[in-house]
Amino acid sequence: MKDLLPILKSLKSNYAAALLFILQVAITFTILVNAIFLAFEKRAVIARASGLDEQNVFYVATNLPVEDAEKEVKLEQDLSKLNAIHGVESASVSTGIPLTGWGRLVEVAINPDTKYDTFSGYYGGDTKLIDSFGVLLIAGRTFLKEEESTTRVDGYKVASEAVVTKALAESLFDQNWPGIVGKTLYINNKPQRVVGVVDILQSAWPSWVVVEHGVISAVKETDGIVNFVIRTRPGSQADVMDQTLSYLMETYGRKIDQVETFLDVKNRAYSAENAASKTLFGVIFGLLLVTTLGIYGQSRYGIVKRFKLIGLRRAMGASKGEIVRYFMLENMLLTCFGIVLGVIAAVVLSVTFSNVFELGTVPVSYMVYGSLCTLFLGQAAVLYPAYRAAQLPPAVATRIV
Amino acid sequence: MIVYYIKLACLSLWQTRSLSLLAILVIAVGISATMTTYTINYMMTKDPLPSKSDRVFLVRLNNWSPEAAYRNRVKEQPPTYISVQDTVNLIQQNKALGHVPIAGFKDMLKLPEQGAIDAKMTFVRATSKDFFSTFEVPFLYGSGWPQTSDQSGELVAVISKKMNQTLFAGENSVGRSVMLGEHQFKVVGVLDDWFALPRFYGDSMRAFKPPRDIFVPFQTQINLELWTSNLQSYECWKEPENTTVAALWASECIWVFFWVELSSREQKSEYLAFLNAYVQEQQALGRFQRPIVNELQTGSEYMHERRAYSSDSKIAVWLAGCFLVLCLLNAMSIIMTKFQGKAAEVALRRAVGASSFDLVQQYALETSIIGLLGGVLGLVMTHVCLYVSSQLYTHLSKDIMSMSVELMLVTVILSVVSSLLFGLFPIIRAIGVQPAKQLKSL
Amino acid sequence: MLRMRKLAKTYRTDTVETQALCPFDLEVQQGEFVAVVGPSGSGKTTFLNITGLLEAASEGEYWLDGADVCSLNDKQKSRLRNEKIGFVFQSFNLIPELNIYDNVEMPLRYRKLSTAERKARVEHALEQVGMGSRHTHFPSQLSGGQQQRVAIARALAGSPAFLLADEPTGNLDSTMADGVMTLLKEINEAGTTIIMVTHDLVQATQASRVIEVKDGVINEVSRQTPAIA
Repeated sequence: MKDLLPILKSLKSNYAAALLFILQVAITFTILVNAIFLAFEKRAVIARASGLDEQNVFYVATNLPVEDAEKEVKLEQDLSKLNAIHGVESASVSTGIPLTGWGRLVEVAINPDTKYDTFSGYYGGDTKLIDSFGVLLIAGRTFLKEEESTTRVDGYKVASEAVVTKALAESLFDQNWPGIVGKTLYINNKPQRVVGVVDILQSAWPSWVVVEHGVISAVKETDGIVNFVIRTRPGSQADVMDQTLSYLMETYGRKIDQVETFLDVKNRAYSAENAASKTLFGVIFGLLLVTTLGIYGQSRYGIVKRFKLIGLRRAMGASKGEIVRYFMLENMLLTCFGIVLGVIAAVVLSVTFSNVFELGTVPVSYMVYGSLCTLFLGQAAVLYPAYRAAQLPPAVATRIV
Repeated sequence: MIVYYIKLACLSLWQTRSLSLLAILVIAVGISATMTTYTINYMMTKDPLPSKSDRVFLVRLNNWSPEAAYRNRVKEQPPTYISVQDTVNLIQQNKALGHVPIAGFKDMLKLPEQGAIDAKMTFVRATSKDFFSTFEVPFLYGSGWPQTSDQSGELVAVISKKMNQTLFAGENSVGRSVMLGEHQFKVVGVLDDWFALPRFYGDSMRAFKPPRDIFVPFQTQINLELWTSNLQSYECWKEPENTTVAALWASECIWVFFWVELSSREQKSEYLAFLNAYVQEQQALGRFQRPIVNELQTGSEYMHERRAYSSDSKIAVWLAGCFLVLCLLNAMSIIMTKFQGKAAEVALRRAVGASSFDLVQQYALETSIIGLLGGVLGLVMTHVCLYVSSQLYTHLSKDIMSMSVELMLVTVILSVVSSLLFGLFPIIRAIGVQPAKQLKSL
Repeated sequence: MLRMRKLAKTYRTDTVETQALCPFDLEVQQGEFVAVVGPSGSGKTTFLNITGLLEAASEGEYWLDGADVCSLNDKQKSRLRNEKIGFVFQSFNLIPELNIYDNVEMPLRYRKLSTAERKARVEHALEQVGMGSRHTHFPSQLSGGQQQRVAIARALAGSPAFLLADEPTGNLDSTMADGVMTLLKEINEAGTTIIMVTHDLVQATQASRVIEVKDGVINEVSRQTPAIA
């Protein structure tokens, strides 16, 4: 610490360069902390579980190209054929697919004839739908075959049993959520008995506030476009997809509206978040590069300018280690000033962001890790110039004017 | 004199080429980061219809259940779309300059001579002839359909340049036919490239996606009962009479975005009064049993309310702005280093009679050249970044990732001005040196 | 043409006040060759800087060619330096990245002169110092003596009222130094006033007048050329 005083004195005499350095560190810190925070927030959104067996589920949206009266029969025929394809674990029909951006929304209430308590996504299908999605049942039971029915549109209006997601149960009953099994809920004011609870099943809209609220009923719909949800054995998805399409195309008038694996659906759903987080990581990389180069350049210049001084100190008996330590300490001191300034700026920026853009504020832990990273960055950037300085022979003191 | 300064600046830049290059690079990186994010943000939020932004409005009627406000909002607000019957009525009343219903469906599209296997599922925009005039849509061949087509619901279509490329290899296809589902449509026009962004007139979720590839009269969709249940959002507070499409058309289900173009800004209140009178008339018939809170909303108001603008792009501009400041500080320290080596020359020039102002001019010019080169390099890098972004941001239309001439100019000017601003301190420091001291030490 | 009355210079730091030059009077006439001598640290350079308008005096009056220098601002002083004074430095101070022509032309660039006029003056000045054939050479390609000749040409190019030379031979070997001294004498004989700071008493004897600075006090030593042969 005996170097501290000379360092401070030398900084005072060259305050402009020191100030520039401090400002650069401060801004780097500010951007770094905020960008990392935002990038991780995006990552966290993308990483949320959909509840499905994401690797092995795909869906086909298609029509039932027969007269209205025959649609139910045609649907049953399609389902049994699809379930018979080799490699299929479970195939079902559903009114919607999670995260596709198009689905149905219902109002959920605990008591009849009241305003809704919350909103929820809705899926109607056959009894195997829960199995075909691959979602996990954590309370109660799935639907029984005799509870299944078929209608043309708006299945939630005829359904009498429902399976709900845990998130929906929790939002209605807090910790007592398992008690929801056996209770009656009012779905768009139609009473329905809850028979089971699934762990997670996201709704159709990834950016929806209550994306994890879900209601499933055992009512198939035949109107317009139907979605066949097919869960395959691992590794046989492509094969099953081919067989499914060739089976479906056997019927005259069949239109394939959409064929997509669930992984593709999810990628599409989060393409904005994905792109944003990649951009943020790009910004972070560019930032670190510019700052490291900047610190390196400035340290190098600062040291070249002080060749004579270094030689003098060497001549007066300072060891190489002491020279390196002097510059590392100087760098650390400046970086610390910068970080202090940076913490203030980062908090200001983060609070501004959270007010203007409705984001969370950066937690303290980011500040701590950010400080350590910045400090390390500074030390790493000064290491080589300081090492070079220490290699100077003491004789430079007398040679360079 | 300026020629002399430029000569000196070039000599000096060459003399300190590695430092100068570093400064130019650092400035270019900062400029390109800022301009890339700014361009994306600018293109996403700019006024899509600047010449008529104050006279093109979305019509919002408070058509909802007598029992509850729409979406149970505390402050009652009308839905963003209206029912088919109101659309038809408002068009018939013909009180505005242009009436643009935004409806649609999807169906299999192919050429009449192609087999069913070649048909592609295609999104169709059902609208009126006014769509093309109100939204200033450019045509490559032909034009929109005539008013009579709107009235009778003819089987006519306008296709996009892209679709024309796919189906007709880019030839003038006016007069040719396409098969849309079971119906044959005659092509009357082919659109040119059309960059209206944000695409404010339809579903806000699709504001940054490319436009649809085929346009047909709204009345044709109505007449032929073309309906795709899982394409666009629709809401019903009262069930249709039965399950037919005809019943859906006659129902209170709302799903048609309805835009009007008025002849002037002043006509807004007049048109709103007309709407209120229309609703009162309908109330007498037993419809619209809610308070009259009709609204005429501009495109950007609508986009803001629907939160179509992601805050990400704004945050990115902020961060990039900070990044630019950082880069400029970095460049500042490089320039300072550069000028520190020039103390002797400064002193000499002062001694032979250059005033401080002469020297400020000389070094400001040198710094401007650095800024200019940084700006030009930054412009090139911005284009690279925009290209990368267009590959990365697959959910956004590619049209967002393009720069106008104004933006390019702004880029270079920003670079020069900010370099000068941040270079000024090093320059003044360099010139502030006492000439007497420097001359002796050399 | 050059008149100083009770001129003095004091340096102030936070705590100490140093009298660099005690108040003195001095007058220099057109065509004189004045040598300023004295040990290092005596105040020679301060005297030269004040005379050359590079530093302002703390008190007193200074007229240059009838103009009151003390009342001028920076821009006016710069102009005066440019038109009336030619500097010659111990270490030549040529700009390494400019060639000989451009170096000599530099002071003229800060005047409003036509290109042809500048060219004529630069060529004339280079002829005067015997460097007429080296326009495109760079300083690093010349010997020390040649560099100093170029520096003198630069000082002459603006046709100044007087030359201020600060140890012009200090960085040269004796042969080269003699050459430069001869050149300066020729210039003086052609009519240009010269004020030269030197620590070399032998060189000082070549001047028409010798002034000694010692511990900030200025004294007239001799007025006529002493006959030392």
